[in-house]
Amino acid sequence: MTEVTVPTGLWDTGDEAAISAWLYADGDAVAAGAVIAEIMVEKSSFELVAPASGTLAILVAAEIPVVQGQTVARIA
Amino acid sequence: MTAAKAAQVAPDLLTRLAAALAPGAIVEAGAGQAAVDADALTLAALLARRGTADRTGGGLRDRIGDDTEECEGAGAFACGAFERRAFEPDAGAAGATLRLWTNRCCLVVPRSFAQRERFAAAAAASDAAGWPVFLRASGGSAVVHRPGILNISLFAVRRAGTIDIAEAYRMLGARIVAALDVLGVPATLGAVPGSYCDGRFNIVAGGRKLAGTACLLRPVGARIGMLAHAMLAVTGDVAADVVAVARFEAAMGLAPAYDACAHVALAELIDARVGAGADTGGWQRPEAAPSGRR
Repeated sequence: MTEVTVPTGLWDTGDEAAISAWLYADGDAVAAGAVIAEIMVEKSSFELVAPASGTLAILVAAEIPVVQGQTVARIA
Repeated sequence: MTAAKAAQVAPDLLTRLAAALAPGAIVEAGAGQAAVDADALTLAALLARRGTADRTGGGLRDRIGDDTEECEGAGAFACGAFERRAFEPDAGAAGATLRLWTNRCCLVVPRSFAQRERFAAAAAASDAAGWPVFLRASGGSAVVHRPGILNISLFAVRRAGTIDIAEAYRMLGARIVAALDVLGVPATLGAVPGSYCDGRFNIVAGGRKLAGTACLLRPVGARIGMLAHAMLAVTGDVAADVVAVARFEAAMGLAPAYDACAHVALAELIDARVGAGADTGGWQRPEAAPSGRR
């Protein structure tokens, strides 16, 4: 099982970030390297990439705030 | 001013601003979604070409401003020059790639908007009002594109850990502020309460929002592709822009509370400075220019 985490070091820790959209649904098959979600922070969109191929399990719904380093999904 | 002279002013000022941003640059006249998509495609192409250089074992060393990036397998490959050949116009000495473009009248929103329940109906209503809605990959909220708005897209590829969002905005903002200075318009970066798509890195002149900015960050392996984008109102009715955005967002079920006075177009600022006798880098409206000057 591979964890999908929010990147670190790209924005101030005090900035509010949230997943603006999941581009795949919970339970979908995803390929390594595919953009699976977008994180919105400071009017910037960061594309979250699948670190492995497998079945996506979403842990944090869209529009819920997230913090750097947080696990937001797993791929098994 | 006659309509013919008004039409003459717009491209002239836009051209001067483009020249200040990147001498010799061509301003693309886009048409809707394809013009927006070209930003993401350009970023993807830059990342792909970098990848090719990596895979072929060629060195990869990139100078962007004062920051030098050295990627794995680095040798002696001048990526800045490589990009300049591949993607004209460019950002010159800054080493990043610059794209200048306009679009037809439309609203452009982050693609996440399309997942919202009321999006289809709101977009249809906006289209019926003359403002079709297109999707973009960068962040923020709804913005206006039209022929009097210059889109400034700055692309760079960096090794992960060497750039953050604030730096991306500062790279773009510094370039625009310098170009505006050439036209005699002092500007800064900051928030403008009451403006649509507000943020900390607007281009602000006289306390009003001249340009909004947004970013897209795309990780590929150990690198991050960066697109920093600004839409700068050169000419036209910014109050009408605000109405179009507010109408769409209200239809989306949002609660827009914008003040048209929070926005300004460059032409208005130039006019004010000309009226005050300020130095505007030689720019004047055509009807005010001495005979033989233009």
